[in-house]
Amino acid sequence: MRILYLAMKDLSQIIRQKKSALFLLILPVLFTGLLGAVFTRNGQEDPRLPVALAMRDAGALGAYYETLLGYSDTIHPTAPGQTDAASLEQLVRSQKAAAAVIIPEGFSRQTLAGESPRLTVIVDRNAPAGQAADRAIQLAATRLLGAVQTARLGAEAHGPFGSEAARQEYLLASLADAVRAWRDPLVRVTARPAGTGNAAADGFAQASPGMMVFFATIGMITPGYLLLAERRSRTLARMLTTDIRRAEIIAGHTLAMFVAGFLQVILLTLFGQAAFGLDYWRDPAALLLMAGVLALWSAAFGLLIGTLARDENQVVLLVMGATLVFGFVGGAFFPLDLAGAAYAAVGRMMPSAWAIRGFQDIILRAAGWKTVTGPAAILVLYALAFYALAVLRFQSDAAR
Amino acid sequence: MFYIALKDLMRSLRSPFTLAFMLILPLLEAGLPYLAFSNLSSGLPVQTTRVLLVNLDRPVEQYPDFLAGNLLADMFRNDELGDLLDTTVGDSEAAARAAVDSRETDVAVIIPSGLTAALFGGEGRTEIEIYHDPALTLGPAVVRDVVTNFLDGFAGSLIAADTAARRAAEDGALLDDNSRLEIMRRYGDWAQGVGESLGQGIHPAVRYEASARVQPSESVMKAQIGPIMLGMLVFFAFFTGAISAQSLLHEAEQGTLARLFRTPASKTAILTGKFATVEILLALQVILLIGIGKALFGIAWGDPILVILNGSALVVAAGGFGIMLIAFMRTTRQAFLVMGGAVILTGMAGGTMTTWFVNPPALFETVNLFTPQGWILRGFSAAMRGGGTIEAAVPAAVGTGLGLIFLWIGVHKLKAKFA
Amino acid sequence: MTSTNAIQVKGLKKNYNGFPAVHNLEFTVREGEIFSLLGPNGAGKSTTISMLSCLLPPSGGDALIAGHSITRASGSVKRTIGVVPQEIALYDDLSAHQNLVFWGRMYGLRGSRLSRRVDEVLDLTGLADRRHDRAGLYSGGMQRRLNIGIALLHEPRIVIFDEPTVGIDPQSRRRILDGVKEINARGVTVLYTTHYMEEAQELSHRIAIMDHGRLIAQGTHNELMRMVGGLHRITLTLSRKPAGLLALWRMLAGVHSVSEEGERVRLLVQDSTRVLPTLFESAAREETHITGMDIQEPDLEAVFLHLTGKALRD
Repeated sequence: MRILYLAMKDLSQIIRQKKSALFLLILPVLFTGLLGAVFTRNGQEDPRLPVALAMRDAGALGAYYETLLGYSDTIHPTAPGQTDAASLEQLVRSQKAAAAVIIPEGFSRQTLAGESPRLTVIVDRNAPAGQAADRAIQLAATRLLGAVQTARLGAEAHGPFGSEAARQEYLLASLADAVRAWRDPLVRVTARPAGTGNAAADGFAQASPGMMVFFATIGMITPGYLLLAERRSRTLARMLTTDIRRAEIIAGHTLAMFVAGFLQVILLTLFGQAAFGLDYWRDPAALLLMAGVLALWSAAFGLLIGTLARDENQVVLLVMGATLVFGFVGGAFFPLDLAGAAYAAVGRMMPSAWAIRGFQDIILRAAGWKTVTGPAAILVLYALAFYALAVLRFQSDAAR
Repeated sequence: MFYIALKDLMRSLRSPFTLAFMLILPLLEAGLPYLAFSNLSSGLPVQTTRVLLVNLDRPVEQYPDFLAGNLLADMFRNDELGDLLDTTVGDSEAAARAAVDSRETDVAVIIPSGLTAALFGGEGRTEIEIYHDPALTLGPAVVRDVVTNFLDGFAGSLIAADTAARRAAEDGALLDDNSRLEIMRRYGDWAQGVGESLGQGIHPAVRYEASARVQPSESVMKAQIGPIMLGMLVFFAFFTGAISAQSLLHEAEQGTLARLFRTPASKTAILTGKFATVEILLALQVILLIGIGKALFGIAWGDPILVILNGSALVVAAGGFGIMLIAFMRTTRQAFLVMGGAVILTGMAGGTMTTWFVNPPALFETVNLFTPQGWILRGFSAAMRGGGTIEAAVPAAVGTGLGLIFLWIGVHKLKAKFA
Repeated sequence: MTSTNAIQVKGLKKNYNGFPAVHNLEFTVREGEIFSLLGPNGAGKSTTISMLSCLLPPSGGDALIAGHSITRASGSVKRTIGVVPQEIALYDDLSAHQNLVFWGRMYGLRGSRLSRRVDEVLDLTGLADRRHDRAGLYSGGMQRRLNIGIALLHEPRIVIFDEPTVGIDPQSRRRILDGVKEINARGVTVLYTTHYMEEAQELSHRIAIMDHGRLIAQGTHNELMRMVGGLHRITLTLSRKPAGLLALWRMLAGVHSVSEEGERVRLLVQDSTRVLPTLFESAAREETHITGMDIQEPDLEAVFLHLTGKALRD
């Protein structure tokens, strides 16, 4: 019973610290939206990335290139207002276009004459959208050259033409045929994610669990601070003069942190479900299990911070430092498969990575509670390890 | 004033906490992603994607010994892809899907029974399915590229032959099988040449605009570590500003500030001494982090004058922000929460943690202009990518202006508080 | 006051890293009395209190509190005692009422008894009118009262005060001392630690004096005074301190001890009226001026000086 009273006291203190809502709810909601939007283009009429196309070529090839770009699943060509290089670069920098392509004057003529003019591409190849656009731009360019090659080979097979005009006519007709053929290739390649059909590459499925895990530990600033304040004001020592046991004190504080963390996760999953269409609640048992173990781990983390820190600034330092490490290494900010092998191997051992994996199992793989018991068990082990360290520290500190 | 600044500076530099915030955390947080991407020097990661290939392709009557699916399977076993893809072959589509579902493999490539028939038998269209772990992003994209390139070569040669046949038919002629095969062979040779060129990173019909930010030759790692370090520099400078300004509250609580006010030193001199400490600490941090970033990660910060301009703007803005925050706080206990919240909120909204995502939505670009961090980042980024003087100097000027406004508000409030 | 023992300390020891902080402590506190542990800072008083309130395990020995062993029955001990810590140990973001309810629950109070005790303690501490204000907004004196009130919630038979008057103004100190007497008047046994001899003198039925972790004397005020046998304490300020002069004074009849403290010299003497002329004469012979003089009746300070050769306030 005393555990419950202690937890209730802690929770009422947490609620009194109105600023804790910032860490627990406002920031995670804001940044899930932000990071999700970084990866996706939801809500736009054409979900494909816009690529600005500056047409300076008056011949057929320029138009065919635009047609081939239009066949892409990932990009669609748009006509920019101004077509000078500086304006196009500005478009790309300001993210209004994923890339820009300039089709130079005389491109058709030179290509058909056997020369090798080049399209000018402005793209940030380090950005995910830039990489996707770059691939599509290259693919369309290869297909265009392929069409030219097709026309040439056909003309050679045709044998001598009556006139140069007849040859040109043949070439253009072949080009048109070849370009049209790419519209609906005989074999399509379809990437299909396993599970619910959502993929981490969609953005929110990465950002939502990532930010949830990131802020689960950031949210421990207030509870960690309250525990520190209890140690420093000697109320903790005073509590030990009542007949409450140490284990009960630890359990009471942990319970309060657990409840705060659990409510945070539940609210964030409801938000993720409502705002981003991520199906967290498909199997409530699985979600409650993951929410429970994440809250348990973050509570153990909060308890450890509260027992380690010597002053308020150290609470911020320790929480920020550890959270950023968990976040960056454990894949809260980017999918771990983008990182190098060694880094990813270390990252996948992080508690944050296991938590993200569990939630992604739910929203991406439609996993039931049995499937998430693996990540959940590892999080519990981490929680126990943090908890043991905190208890050791608590035992040595409480009586001092 | 000088002695006050000196005393504060010594105290701050002796505090492991301040040093941790000033130097260790920003380097750690920039260094971790650096490690994450340090294998990406060729633009590709070395994480191997496990591929399970199921080839269900069946021959067609005309070519009983030929299977397009085998060619694709051979391509996946090509040594050149060995670092990227670890391919095994399965024979059941259901087992392959189950292997992806149970994480035994990352990607299943399911070659349909009608691949050869679609390509050579005229039996309509088909689909190669890449069934993948939904949590993976890069591996499935690589596999899709491999398959698409393969099919493009194939499909291109078929298109070439079909087009020639159609043209011949329109002229009332018939393209014989030998000519058809010859066209396909020559197209295949050409496609292989293009493929080799692409393998060396050169597209025969594409050239890239050589603007600093968008250079294709720059490795992902080198290009990303700069923005990450910049984000961390700006984020933690604002923390340093707030934490070092906190010494005012500490002294007020301990009573040493009141005692200082009782000495002949003027209030202005005392407060100036305090501000000087904050600014000197910040300047030290900014100089050290820029220097270490250059030495350790090879970051090209850009034109030195623009870097100095933006560095100064950062020092003024972070110092002013810290002093303003602290001026509104009554106790250090209250300050740490507000400080943490305000610095994290403005830092994240200002884009310090997302510098490396590069592709933020337009709304976010607008939001970060409401934070000093957003302006400073903009100026530094412009300098870093070799943007124009105005592009880098205007944000620096705005950042400095904001810093001075914060400082003015802070001083005003502090003077009223200690009056 | 009865003759039953409320606290019985038997050979209590505490070592820190091999360094003995408390040596073989032996004393008893009788039920209903105020018993003070008097000693300078670092004498081991707080360590003793921490052991008696079961915060620290002793390195040796034991103590019985209302018959319960601190080593074997800490739960029963904790239910019997109330501890008033030196610090203001309460939650300043909660109101007095919320603090009392929380602490009452920690002491195991529930339901109507809890409500009744909270109201009684609010009345006792004079905080009833401001019961719903945050404790952090109270004056220092009000916080001290609440700090004491918390220890009384569960109506303990024994209350332990750990230097409750350190660093506070004389007015608040007066209130606290009166409060301690009032609590005792209700039949509660009080163990009080202090390094102010005036407090021990005013409050206590019996006093134990500690120094360097050892109990060097204990008894009633009168019993302790008898140890110095009515000796007067003379404190002289000298213009210079020739070694020969102090050696001479040590040999004078009626002088019990001579100790130096900076510019001053302290002497314990049988009869100041008879000794003083000799002191003045011998100083004059050594061309030493006596620039200040203070004579005090026998007190606890004299006892401490007599036993340790140094002043309690050092």
